Amino acid sequence: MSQTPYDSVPAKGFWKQAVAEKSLFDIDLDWEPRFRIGQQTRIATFGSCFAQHFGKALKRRGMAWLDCEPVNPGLSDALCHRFGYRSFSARTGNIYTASLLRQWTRWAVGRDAPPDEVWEQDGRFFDPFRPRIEPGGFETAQEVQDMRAVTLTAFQQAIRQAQVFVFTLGLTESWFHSDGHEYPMCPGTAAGRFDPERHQFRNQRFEETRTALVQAIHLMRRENPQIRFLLTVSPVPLTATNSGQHVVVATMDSKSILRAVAGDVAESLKGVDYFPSYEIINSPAFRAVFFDPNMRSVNPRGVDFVMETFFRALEQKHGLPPALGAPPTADDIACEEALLASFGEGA
Amino acid sequence: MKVCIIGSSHAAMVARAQRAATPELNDDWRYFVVPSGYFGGQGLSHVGYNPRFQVLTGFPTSTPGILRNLRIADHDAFVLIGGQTSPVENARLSTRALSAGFRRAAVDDLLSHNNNARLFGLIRQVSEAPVLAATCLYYDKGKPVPARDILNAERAVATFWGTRGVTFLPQPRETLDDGLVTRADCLIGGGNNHLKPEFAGLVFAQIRDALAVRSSG
Repeated sequence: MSQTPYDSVPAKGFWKQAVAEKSLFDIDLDWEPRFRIGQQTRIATFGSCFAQHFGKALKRRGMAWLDCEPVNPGLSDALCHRFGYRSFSARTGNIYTASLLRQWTRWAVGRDAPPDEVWEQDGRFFDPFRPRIEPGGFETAQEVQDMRAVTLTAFQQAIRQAQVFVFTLGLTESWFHSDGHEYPMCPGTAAGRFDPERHQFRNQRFEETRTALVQAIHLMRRENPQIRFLLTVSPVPLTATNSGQHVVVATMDSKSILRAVAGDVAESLKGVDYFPSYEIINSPAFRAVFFDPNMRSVNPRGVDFVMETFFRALEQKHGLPPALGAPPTADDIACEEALLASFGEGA
Repeated sequence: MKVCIIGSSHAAMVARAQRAATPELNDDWRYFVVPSGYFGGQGLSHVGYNPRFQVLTGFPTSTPGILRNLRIADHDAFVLIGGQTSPVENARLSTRALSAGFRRAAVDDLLSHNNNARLFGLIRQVSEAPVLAATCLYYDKGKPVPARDILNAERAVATFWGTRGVTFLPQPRETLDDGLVTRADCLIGGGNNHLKPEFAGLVFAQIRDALAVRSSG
């Protein structure tokens, strides 16, 4: 038999050795990070809801996750998450589409001003561009604008300070105002009123999604030329589709485009990488064990598996130290001394 | 009277002051301490509860000679130290650009979702003994907070505890400057942000006096 290029392909390149003959928990997708991410690398995280897991895991690991819109450290995570704090590096709420990322970026760097649209409902006021950020709504329309301005400043800080910008692509189905601005959710679902004359549905295809993502990256690089990007695709299926297709078909359509865009942009732009969290959860190799019974929500084991894969690659390829828990601070050491001295053990 | 002091390392500073001033109380005042940095920074959040035996568990340090599990029914009074943010930290909400709705929710969260409140709830499942509560020291680690706001925040803490029948122990005024934050000369210093023994003695005296009032009441 003659030699072929497959003779030199490592075991990970063959389904039989890499998947079929392994326990699913031993499958390692062998992600090869293109740039170094260390303990002190400043990382911003944004995107669809799955991106929240990334931020939380980075924080737990003691890495330099950027919180550019911080609140009092004594506040509970439950309260902060309910109000959209500590979920992403600024209080943007979910940024589901690449075009929404471009929109937030254009507003943050001053290319466009956000529209002054505010939704009023029963005397409360909602931000159309993050309608669930304030449970029960804001007290005044002015407060909506003021708080959005705070977030835009924080988002700009995230762009300027980040060494790595993690973005999780979530959806292609999107809702636009006839004036051109995009909503993260269909008006009338979380808040507001749907107006068929003004509110338009668009299921973005490959080229539109790719263009928006590339433009967002270029805009951010003007603010911060050193910034690098780590793209992921949310493995969470669509809750609902307006495409007319079955929700399973619509999900596959949407995720296929996002996955292709992420891969293409990572291949064609320098300083952009792709991390395969989508594959870890969704590939048949993992037999859907990382989904809750509703086959939509990713269970905690799945999140852990994704993040273990991420950190393991950084440890093996770039020498990230293994997780050892938070190092003691000067206060902790002082506490130790105080304790021992108090009970006469430290003399 | 068996007094149980549960808290952060600042509780250990009270222990030092008490043991120096009133060694005759050593057998009756018991300390269960978890420094904030312990257990990966969980501190007092690491303390667990075993409902079967009605004990609090997980203290790395306690008064020598007693078990590290705390049997609630064995005590006649409880003092909670450092299991909630200080009024300075709570007042910091006023210096941030926040919505009115979040600010209100945050005040409630700071008062009710903390280790002092959690431990109080566990104690009350078993015992009606008097409970005293103190916050973390009144540090000012960031942007200065107006004294007026600190005072209001302190009142809010006192009201929260008062409505639950708990005696709130504000930080002794002798240890605070005009801005209502801890005087630097009251701290041990050199990275050790605990009160010097003579000032920890003021906290001990405050506890002792409050317990005397509760007992006589």
